[in-house]
Amino acid sequence: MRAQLQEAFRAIPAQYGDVRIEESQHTRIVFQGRELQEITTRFEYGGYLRLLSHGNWAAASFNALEAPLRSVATETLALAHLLPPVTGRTVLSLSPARQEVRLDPSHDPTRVPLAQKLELISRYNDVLLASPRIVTTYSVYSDSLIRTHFCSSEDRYLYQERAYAGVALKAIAQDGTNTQGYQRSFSRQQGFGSLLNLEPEVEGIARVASNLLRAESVAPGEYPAVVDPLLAGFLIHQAFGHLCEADTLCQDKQLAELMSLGRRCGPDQLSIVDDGTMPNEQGTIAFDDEGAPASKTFLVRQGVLRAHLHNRQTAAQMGATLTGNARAGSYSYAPIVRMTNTYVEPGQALLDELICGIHDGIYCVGAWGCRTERLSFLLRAQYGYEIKDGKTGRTLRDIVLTGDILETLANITGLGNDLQMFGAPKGRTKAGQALPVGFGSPHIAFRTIRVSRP
Amino acid sequence: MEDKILSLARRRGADAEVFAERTTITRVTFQTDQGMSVNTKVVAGYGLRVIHRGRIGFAATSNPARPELVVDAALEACRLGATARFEFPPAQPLPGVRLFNNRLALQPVELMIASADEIIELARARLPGIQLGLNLEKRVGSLRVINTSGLDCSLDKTDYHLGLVGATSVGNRLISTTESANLSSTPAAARQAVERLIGRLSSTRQEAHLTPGRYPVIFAGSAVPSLLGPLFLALNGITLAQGRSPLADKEDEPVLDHNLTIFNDGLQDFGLGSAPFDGEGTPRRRLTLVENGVLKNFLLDLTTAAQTGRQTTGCAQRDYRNPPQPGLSNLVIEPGAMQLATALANIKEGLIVYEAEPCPPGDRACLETDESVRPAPDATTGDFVLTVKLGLKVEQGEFTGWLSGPVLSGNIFRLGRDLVGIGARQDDLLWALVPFLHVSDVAVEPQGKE
Repeated sequence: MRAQLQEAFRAIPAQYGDVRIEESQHTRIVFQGRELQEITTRFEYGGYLRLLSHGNWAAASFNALEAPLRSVATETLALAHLLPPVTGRTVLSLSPARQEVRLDPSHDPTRVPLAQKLELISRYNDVLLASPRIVTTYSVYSDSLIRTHFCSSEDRYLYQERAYAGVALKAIAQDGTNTQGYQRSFSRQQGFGSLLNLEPEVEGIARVASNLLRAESVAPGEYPAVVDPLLAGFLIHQAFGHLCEADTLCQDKQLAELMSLGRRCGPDQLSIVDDGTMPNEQGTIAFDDEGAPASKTFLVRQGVLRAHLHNRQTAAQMGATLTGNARAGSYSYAPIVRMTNTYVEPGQALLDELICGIHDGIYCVGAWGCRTERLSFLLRAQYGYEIKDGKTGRTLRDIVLTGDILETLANITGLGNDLQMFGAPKGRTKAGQALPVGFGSPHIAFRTIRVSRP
Repeated sequence: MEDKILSLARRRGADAEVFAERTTITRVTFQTDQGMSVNTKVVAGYGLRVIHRGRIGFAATSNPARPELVVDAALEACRLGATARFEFPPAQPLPGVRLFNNRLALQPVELMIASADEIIELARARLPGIQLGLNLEKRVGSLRVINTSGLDCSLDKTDYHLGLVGATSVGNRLISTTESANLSSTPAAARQAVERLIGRLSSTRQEAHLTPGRYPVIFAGSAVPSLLGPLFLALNGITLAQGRSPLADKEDEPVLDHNLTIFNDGLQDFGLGSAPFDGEGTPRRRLTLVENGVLKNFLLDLTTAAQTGRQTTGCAQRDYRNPPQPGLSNLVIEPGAMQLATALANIKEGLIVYEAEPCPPGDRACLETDESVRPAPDATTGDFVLTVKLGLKVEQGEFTGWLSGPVLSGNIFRLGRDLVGIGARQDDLLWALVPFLHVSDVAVEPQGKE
């Protein structure tokens, strides 16, 4: 394979070229209520070749190769030459390399029989349905094994194996016309074994959904707040992390000014990291899809914006170094700037310490979804608790947090010592590409946060 | 390859169906600050369903080297899977529909690049400083469905369409809007799409706000599918089979305003979703879903038809990666008689909505991506909750500012008493032909209720 890929670029007069060949296997099992809705295995094979020539990009993606790869490269080069030359568009280069990164065999989900996977998700689904007032569920098991060959015109050949396995579980509780739901997902690159023995967590999902039937709607207002690691990590990923992606900044000059390096984003204790090298997390990679090694990048250090996330082109355009964040959803897409594992570094505080300092506030847990527009965000928490005189009290629901992300970060008063990382089985979506990513945070306390209702 | 897969499955004692797809896509894209790029994409894959010992299984592959793997996987899924409730159907006569434009299939990339240049120049001339995204896409493809009952149907198809995103700064906000055009049979549609895009971005340079209340709303054609989401979910065979559809057993009863007639038309010449057969080989037709407000048909495939004791209505949608599910091919809502100028003139204070998303982020977020990709509307009641992504405030018939974020709510089965008019012209959304709907009374809340 390596020789075939390297041959593609021999004597091709392009500024830069790369090709990814990907072979993968995916399994998905879905229960809705008691009904088995889907049990699917999918085998994929395909590639993506792209060239930069005279400042123009051209690309070809394919399933089976019907012609030698070199012919594909030649035809793709001809496409690039149909466009008028563009001066000044270039990419950062990397040195020649040979490296192979293989999977821990115990993490390979294709070694686990399909029956065992079905039994696992069926059991968790039954646990949800056995709980009082749970009327229906949506339970998904999914896994993927992906083998990627990468080669660039710089004679950089890399081979990488990755495997993901996860479950996503949702319980819907009903009492008359009152319907409430709660969901969690569990996914890392740690193999099928990491999904065993989750019964306590699954029972917890059903319990929360049921308890929410008795919860009261939050009273809108501005409150001191503590948010849990999942909600905080989700907020950081959605409302801040995407603002650090350099391809977005290159297209939005106004946003680029708002997110210029050196601006203060929060208190000195705040540091936000994107780290593709963390072992076994959902967004972990050895190399990105342009062949750049994964790295740990401090986006924010001691409250100040220090770095953006780059691909080869944005790094060249902005005079930055590569960060290993050029990622593609699959072989049929071009790589774009994406996060890997993004998290807030922990502080020193215990959760009790963060809460006991609040006289009249709110403790928000979990995240349904988030909508953003430049710096503005609207994020719905899954539920919460009121905080009165330093203690948690009534359960609350219908909690929507809104605000300006930089103003919100500036309101941080405390960081817990309890960093937790999360990942969803299929990941998150940008430009239509779903991609596995990790996100995390410790508990975070805010001086004030705007709370409203949907 | 599909014949080989079918043969391997048959030799293992199974009834089988193979869906084979092969499409070549040529795409010219442009973004301000990124310039133009060209790419080609070949998608080729096979989806296999097998029925064996009363159970059904599915597997898919885009790897032609090892067809036995997909057969093994489908049979394994079958062994563990759901009860099979139908048999793969034999061949049936198919209707005619024009799908393949030979001139388009042979159109060189140079011509696409020239067309893209023209569109970009037109947009820039009409609105200097516009941030523009363009996607010009040509597809030439083939589908084939074969099964062990003797069915063997195939088609060749061309598509050529344009997608535009235009954005302009208004204060601190970036207002962006989209337009699309089916160029398969109407090349002039590109210019019309640009004019609509520019016209919308040029409507006003102000932001507007609405106090909570009830207002008249014009749902532009582009927003109507989001509005009617609860209806399509209620019409979907999966919802019906799960016992969650409020329209169950209401065939031939009035369910919507008597002026509404809605089709799922799989036979539009050069339509994006058109084909003489659905994803299971069932002949397609111009299926009447609602006629003058009366429910006539559901969106059904073989599985949901069997589950609900009905006949399939030829609405199986799929690609090779997934088993079929009922869905819309080309949505058509019959136009009415109302002109947009008339609708606007009647509004003292209200809004026109161009783009809306179901729900604020919330309850039915897409579990697997941890985001509210497409939160499902409530199928059990018909309630809709829409967040306005792009709208304009209308006062005394004039546009007075951009709106983004207000939440609209109501119930589509009670729209009848508030439906003032249906637009006389249908907007072409590539997969839908939809007129505007003018509703007199919709609850409006600002984004995030205080």
